[in-house]
Amino acid sequence: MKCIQVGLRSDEIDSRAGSSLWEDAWKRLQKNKLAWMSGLFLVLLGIGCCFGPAFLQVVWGYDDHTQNLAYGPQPPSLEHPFGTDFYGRDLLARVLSGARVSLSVGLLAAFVAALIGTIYGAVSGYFGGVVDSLMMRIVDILYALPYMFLVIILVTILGKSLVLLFLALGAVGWLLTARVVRGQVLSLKEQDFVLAARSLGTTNRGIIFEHLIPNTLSSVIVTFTLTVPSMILQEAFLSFLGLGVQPPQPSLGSLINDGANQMLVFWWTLVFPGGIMATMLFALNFLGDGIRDALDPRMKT
Amino acid sequence: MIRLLLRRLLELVPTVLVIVVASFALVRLAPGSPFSSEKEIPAEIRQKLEAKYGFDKPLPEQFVRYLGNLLKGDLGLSTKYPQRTVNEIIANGFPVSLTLAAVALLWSLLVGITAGIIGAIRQNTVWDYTAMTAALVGISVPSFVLGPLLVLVVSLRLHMLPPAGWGDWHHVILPGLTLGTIYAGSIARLMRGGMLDVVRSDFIRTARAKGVAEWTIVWRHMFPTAILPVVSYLGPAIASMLTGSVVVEKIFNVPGIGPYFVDAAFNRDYFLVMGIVLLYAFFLLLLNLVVDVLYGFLDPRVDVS
Repeated sequence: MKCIQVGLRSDEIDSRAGSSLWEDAWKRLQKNKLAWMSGLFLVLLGIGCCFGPAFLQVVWGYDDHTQNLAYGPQPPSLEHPFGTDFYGRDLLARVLSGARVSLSVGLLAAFVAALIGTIYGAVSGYFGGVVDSLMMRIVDILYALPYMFLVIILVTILGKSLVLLFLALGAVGWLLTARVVRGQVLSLKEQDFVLAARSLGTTNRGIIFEHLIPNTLSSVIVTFTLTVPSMILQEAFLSFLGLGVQPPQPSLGSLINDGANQMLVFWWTLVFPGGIMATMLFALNFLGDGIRDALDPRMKT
Repeated sequence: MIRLLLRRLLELVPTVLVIVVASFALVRLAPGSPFSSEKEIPAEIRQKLEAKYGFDKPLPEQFVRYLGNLLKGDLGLSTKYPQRTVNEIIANGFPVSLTLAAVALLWSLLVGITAGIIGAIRQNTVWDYTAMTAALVGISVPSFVLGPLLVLVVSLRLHMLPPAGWGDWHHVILPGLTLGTIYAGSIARLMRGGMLDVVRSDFIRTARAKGVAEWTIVWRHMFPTAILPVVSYLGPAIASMLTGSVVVEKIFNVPGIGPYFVDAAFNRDYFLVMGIVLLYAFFLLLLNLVVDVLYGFLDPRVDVS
């Protein structure tokens, strides 16, 4: 019967107001050339990561695991644009494969973090009072814990699988999202559409998931885009310490670690993975900045 | 002021207690034991070892004992390094890590604040774009890329600074730069934002109208308000500098606490892991308290209590 009161349905209004917000944001983003180029670079890198190693396998007959010990480490050449590593493995294939690990762990961990943070923050802000202060106290305590140490403990407890790695990262990385969403929900829940939804008999759960959370989506997206590079950084950090992705599977962090150990003689083993890592983070940060500027109404002037 | 500080300190007690319980549970519920990673030890010796560290008692009893020792300031024995107490290991490593973090903090504040102010007072000029692009590059180059590159260029090619080790001030420069640069980028952006927020406020216009010198306006009037976002960022920044030093200590072979922690987590060195986590948590809680008080001091509008 609810659909009779079309004029009052908040999600109806949301979707209308929302689409114009998204359209506005999209237009603003298109004007931002640097963000645009960063996005393009990331898409190309994504495609390269997904199909690159397989492509090299077909065309040149080797992939990121093919060893050629007699060949050994070779400087960049036409055949191996990034050179080869200590075991004669093609560095381009390994860097692409490592970037794939980084990107997927970063995206998935940021997604897990956004999911936990959004629900936690919305519940905390919506119920308010004792529930809110208790839940936010927990966030404060977690904030005080040395974050990376916690991840290290979690990784040593859970074991070193890729799935557990992004779960561990996501499980510790949701605090910022929770705070942002809570802050928004605190003011949103006082608005009339929530009152309307409640007077129509919508359950708490329905209000939180159908009315409040969709309205916080733009800030969730902004925090998400800023979480992705930091998650990628954490993953590489762990792999650099030997706690992340395990060999022979390459990861940018472990490639950089290998490169750092032999940089004096084989400089390319450090420069290429490091350069790709830095460029990737730079593009992600720039795109994140662009998306934040596009979605932030204060920038509208 | 002192009463306020005391009250805030008292409020830390339940938080610390929760952290002790949580980290004890996390560390102890992990599969494996300190003696399982080594070669197979005869059951008899194992029993004796467990008795020595008190692992043969039920968990609640062990916890009460640990808490009692903790109150006396005794963090227990390391199981990996049987000759050393956790207190000793921390006393050796923590000052080193702290020095490193302090140098990194100083560097990031110096560079970040300068770049942020330049960006703001020369908004939308070449100066601004250069400073902000540099800040974004700084944020995007991870320490484990910057560190080896600095070693490669500054130490191995130019022979200007030692590539690794610890001793005098020469050794602290490269690790400090490596650790601090990423935060310098964030601080520059926050500082610029803070300055731009304040630059259009009425009291600045009044000061200009009165003919106050531009230099005085920037430093005396704008700076204290504009620095607030940076101050509130300091807590998380120092926290992540302290833990981030794990990687930098590895790159530059610095005898801090980081390498111990990674080893300890692997080897289930219960007391050492707990000791380091608790030390850092307590330190960070205190630090956040200081930042809060400092915040209230800088911005009288904020009610610290």
